[in-house]
Amino acid sequence: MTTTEIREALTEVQHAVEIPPVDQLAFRARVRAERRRHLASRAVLAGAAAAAVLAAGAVSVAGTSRSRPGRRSPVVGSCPRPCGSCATDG
Amino acid sequence: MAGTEHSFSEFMAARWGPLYRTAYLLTGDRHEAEDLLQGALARTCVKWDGIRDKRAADAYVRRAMVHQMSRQWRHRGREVVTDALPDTGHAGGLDVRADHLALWDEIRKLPPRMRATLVLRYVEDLTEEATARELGCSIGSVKSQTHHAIKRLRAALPTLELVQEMS
Repeated sequence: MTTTEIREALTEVQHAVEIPPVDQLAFRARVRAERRRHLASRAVLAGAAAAAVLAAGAVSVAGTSRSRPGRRSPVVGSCPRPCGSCATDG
Repeated sequence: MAGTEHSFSEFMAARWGPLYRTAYLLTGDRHEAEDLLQGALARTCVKWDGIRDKRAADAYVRRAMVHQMSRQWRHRGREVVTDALPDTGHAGGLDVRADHLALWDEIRKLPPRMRATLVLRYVEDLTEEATARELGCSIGSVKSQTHHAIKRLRAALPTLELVQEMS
C-alpha cells in the first residue's frame, strides 16, 4: 500500500463528513470582533508612526540648533582663564 | 460597502462546504473545524477589499486556517498524545470504508502539524515548497514531518504496510 491509500482515506473522509449550516449570528459577532481588533491594531500602528515622526523631528531640530552658524562654540571662543598659549594680545 | 458584503456573502455561501471539509481534516473534530473556519472567514471578510484576485480567496482562507492552527499549537507547546479521542462517537457518523476509517482514526491521533502536512500534501495537492510556505517552515521540515507521520501510521497499522512514495 502506498501514500495513495492516505490520499484516498482522507478524500473519502472529507466527502463523508456532514456539513453544518453557517451559524450567521455567531459569524457576524466574530466579524464585528475582528473589525474592532483590526481597527485597534491600525490605531496602535498609526500612533507608533506619529510618535516616530515626532521623535525624528525633535532630534533634527535639536541637531540644527546645536550646529547653527551664528552661535560661537565655547571651545573656539574666549577662554575663561587666560593662559600663555591662548592670550595672544597681552 | 454593500457590494463588498454581497460579494463576500456569495463567496461564503459557495465555499463554506469545501472549506469546512478541509478544516475538518486539519482539526479532526467537527466543533473545532467550525470554529477554525468561522475565525478564518471573519478575518477574510474584514480584509475582503484588499484581496485583489478573488479566485485566490480559497487559498487565503486555507492559509488563515493553517496560521490560526500554527498559533494554537505554538501556544499549547508539545501536545500529549493520548489513546482516547475526545470525540468518541465519531466513527458512527462517517460512512467510510473500514480500513479508511481505521487509517483516519490514526491520522487524527497525529500531532496537528503532522496532520496538516499530510492534508496539504495529499488532499490539497500542494508541492513540498508550497506546503512549507503555508506552514511557515522549511522544506526539510515538511519532508521530515511527512516521513515521521508515515512511520507512525505504519507502526500503528502494520497490516496496511504503508510505503512512502519517492516523489
